Amino acid sequence: MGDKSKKPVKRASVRVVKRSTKAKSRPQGTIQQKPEDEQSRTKDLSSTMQISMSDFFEDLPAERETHLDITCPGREPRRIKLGDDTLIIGRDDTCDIPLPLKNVSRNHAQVSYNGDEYTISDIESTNGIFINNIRVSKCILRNHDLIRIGEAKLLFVREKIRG
Amino acid sequence: MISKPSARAYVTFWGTRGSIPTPGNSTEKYGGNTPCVHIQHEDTDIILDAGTGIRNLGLELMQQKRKMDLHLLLSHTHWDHIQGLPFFVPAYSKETNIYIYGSPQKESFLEGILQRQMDVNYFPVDMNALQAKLIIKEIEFEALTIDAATVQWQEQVCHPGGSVRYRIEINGKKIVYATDVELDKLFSPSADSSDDNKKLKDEYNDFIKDADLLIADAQYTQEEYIAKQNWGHSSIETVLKVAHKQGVKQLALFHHDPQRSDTMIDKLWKKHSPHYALHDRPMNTFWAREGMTLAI
Repeated sequence: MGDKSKKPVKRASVRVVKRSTKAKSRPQGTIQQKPEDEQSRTKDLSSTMQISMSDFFEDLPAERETHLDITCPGREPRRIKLGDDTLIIGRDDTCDIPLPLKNVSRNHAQVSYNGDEYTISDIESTNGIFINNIRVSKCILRNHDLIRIGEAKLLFVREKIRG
Repeated sequence: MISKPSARAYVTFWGTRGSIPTPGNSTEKYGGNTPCVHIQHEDTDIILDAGTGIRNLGLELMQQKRKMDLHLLLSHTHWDHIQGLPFFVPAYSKETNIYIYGSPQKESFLEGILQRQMDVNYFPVDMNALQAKLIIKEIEFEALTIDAATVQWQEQVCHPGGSVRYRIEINGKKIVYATDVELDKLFSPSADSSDDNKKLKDEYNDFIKDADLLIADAQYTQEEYIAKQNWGHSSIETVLKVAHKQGVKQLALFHHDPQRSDTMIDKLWKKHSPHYALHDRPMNTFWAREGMTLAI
């Protein structure tokens, strides 16, 4: 308070540089002058319009797309889209996802959905199911889990999509 | 994640994270809930620790709509191992009996500790609101018998405040739960070579020997451990060596560090697992993951 020894605060000098109104020639490789017809179109953009908030909600990721990419020896790779239904995987033709391999049990595993997550379960198979090389009895599946059933490989893919 | 009853024991991981829950995208795969493991064998339910993972276990058990006798074995009473108990829905049901076991070294404190975490200053619902029959007891006998399961236990001194490890034997299979212990204090090359230490090492080795599944604290890498000595947790490298030497068949590395993302765990798995999986005496090594059930 009242310290006379205090030096006056120096203000930073501000140099105002006026923009030249003359169009400068642009170096090569930068944005070129817009053609006249385009310039007339941008006249309508001279003021900023408000955005409707309802558009925001329409674009929210509302769904997930889930599928299994299946590689099975002697067969073309295929993609099975997963939905709400429980699917049975096995050697039998009657299975939802048939894997015609000798080391796969007739009814080997099932994939079920609880409304949020997919779970794979071993249904008393002989050779078991492996998730990322770990033999499991049951496992909630996560994006890019590699499932091995016999010699077949099933890649679980789950991605958020805009609904 | 509860399998149909059969002669096999089913081990499900409901919480695998150490210290504090870590929700978020980067921990979705291995999970963010703190320790809770469920062992089901026929109608017997054994629960190891009551970290935040026990909440989801409770919801799953309630779907079964059955009268339950649950046996909860606590390794110790640090927050991350008891914090889920007030959110365990079966504890609010008259149809449930919950037997809670903990270290005898806590003497009569175990009940007090669990009660205090539901004190009005920490939680809005009083422990008396739990309508289940709670039988809280310190382990008194050398081995505990729960239906067809025999439970052996040992005190672990290498953790601040102490902790207990459990070995559950069912149908000739051994499942060991040994979390919150600093094995590097006993087993690292620079560890104390006193007789006391040797005795502790021998006890640990005997306890885990030939386990069909060892669930073991492996919170740090060896590099991280240097700055975390005396915090009561083990390094991955030490656990791997000791478990393999003792003929463990499956090793679930557990109590993941809160900083450990899914990507980091995947990298650690690639670095360490092949060596032990392809060894002459193979040991299946993996990082425990929430929502995974193993048949033992």
